Amino acid sequence: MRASRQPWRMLFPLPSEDEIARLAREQLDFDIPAECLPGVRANLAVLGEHLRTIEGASE
Amino acid sequence: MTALEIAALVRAGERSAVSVAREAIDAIKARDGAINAVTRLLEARALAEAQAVDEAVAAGRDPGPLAGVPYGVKDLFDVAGLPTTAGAGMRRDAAPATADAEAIARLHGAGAVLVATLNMDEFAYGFATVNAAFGTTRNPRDPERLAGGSSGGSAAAVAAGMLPLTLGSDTNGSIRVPAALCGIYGLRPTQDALPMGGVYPFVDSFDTIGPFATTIADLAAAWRVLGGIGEPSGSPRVARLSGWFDRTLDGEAAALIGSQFAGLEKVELAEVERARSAAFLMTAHEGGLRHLPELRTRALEFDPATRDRLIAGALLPDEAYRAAQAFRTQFRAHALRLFDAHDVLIAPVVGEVAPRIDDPFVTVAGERVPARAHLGLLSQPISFIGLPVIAAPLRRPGKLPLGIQLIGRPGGEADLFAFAAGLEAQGITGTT
Repeated sequence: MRASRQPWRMLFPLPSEDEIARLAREQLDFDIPAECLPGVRANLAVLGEHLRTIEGASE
Repeated sequence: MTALEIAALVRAGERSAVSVAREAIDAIKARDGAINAVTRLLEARALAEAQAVDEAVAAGRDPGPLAGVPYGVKDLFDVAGLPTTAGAGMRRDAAPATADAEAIARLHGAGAVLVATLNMDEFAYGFATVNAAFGTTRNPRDPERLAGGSSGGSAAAVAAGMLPLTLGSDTNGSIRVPAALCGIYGLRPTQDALPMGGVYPFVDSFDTIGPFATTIADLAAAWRVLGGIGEPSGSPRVARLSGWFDRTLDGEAAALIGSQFAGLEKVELAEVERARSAAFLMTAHEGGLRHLPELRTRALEFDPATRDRLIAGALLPDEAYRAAQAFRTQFRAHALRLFDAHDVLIAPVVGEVAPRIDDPFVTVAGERVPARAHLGLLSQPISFIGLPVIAAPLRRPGKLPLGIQLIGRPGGEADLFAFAAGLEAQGITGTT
């Protein structure tokens, strides 16, 4: 079994906190409070690892 | 006493439901200070419901199969007249529910008596019941350890002997993990088998509700009252899941499960690790999008640990979510083929005993990772494809609990109950 390859390049390499804030404004109409950004970035890193796992290949 | 023992006495008029309810209320008042399983004690409602049961018995009416059985519900079931907090401090002032959740209505119709609402991880996003607003629920088997989550209050209330029956919800393991860590039984039914009306949602793709109890008979009785159906198919064909499930056990769990089930055929479920990752991604994305409106306006009122996970999930590209969904279709088809030759598959719930509260980590692939996010390592791949599971405690008096998953085909709960009753009768599983 193999998940189809998809364009989730935004997580590789992991975006900076400033980039995450911009993405949230553009894609979610959401101004992330600054104090949340380190935790959000850490969690995006975890999600990125899971993306690599289901993709079954290194990006 | 078990739920069915209580019901038998109340139905026979040998014990009043009011006296049972008062006993449960007193037990909570006496014991919950050390455990923190209960978020609200519903004393007036419980006594009124119990009084109605006693009146039915006195009038010669059938009071129901769970007559007088005191129970509690995870704090995400609607209880008429109360805000449904879903474990979130920001929802303490939410509008009160206008009606009971459907599951509560069914238990009420069976004569059970609602006594308490129970603690959980905020918005059910966690495996620890470490809650910034309502506190940490402690494991009754060792109060220095986690009860597990997210239905930790539901499991701890039963394990502490405060209530014989509770309800929880399971999205990725939130019934099975706390049942295993607290040493009791829990049922995650087949996806969509039980009514979700009036249950605060987390991830529609995986959300289920189910009961906790100290015996298989009590668990089965609750299952039937809640709407469970089906008959055993005969002598079940049983195998043990190996491979990834074995590799994630610590030495103690591996030795115990290996010795108890040494004679069973081992079968491998391929791609389990990818299934777990796909479940993780779908959960993050669905959960994040569900809470995005509140995140936009009240982000700082969330528990920070929940909030940052939800925001990251909302940011996940839709394409990644769809890839996880597509993988689920393939994985489900592959997993269901195992049931051509087997009726019950056995796997551990958690690879080690409950983590300490002051050291809330588990070991995954040799790495220490936060328990809150990772205790569901072995439960997530199963709920990912909607299979029914009974979490059963391995019987080992004097030691911290370890639990196993008894996994069935969709709609196969009756086979699971029949097999679990046999394990309990042999002394392999059971609460101690």
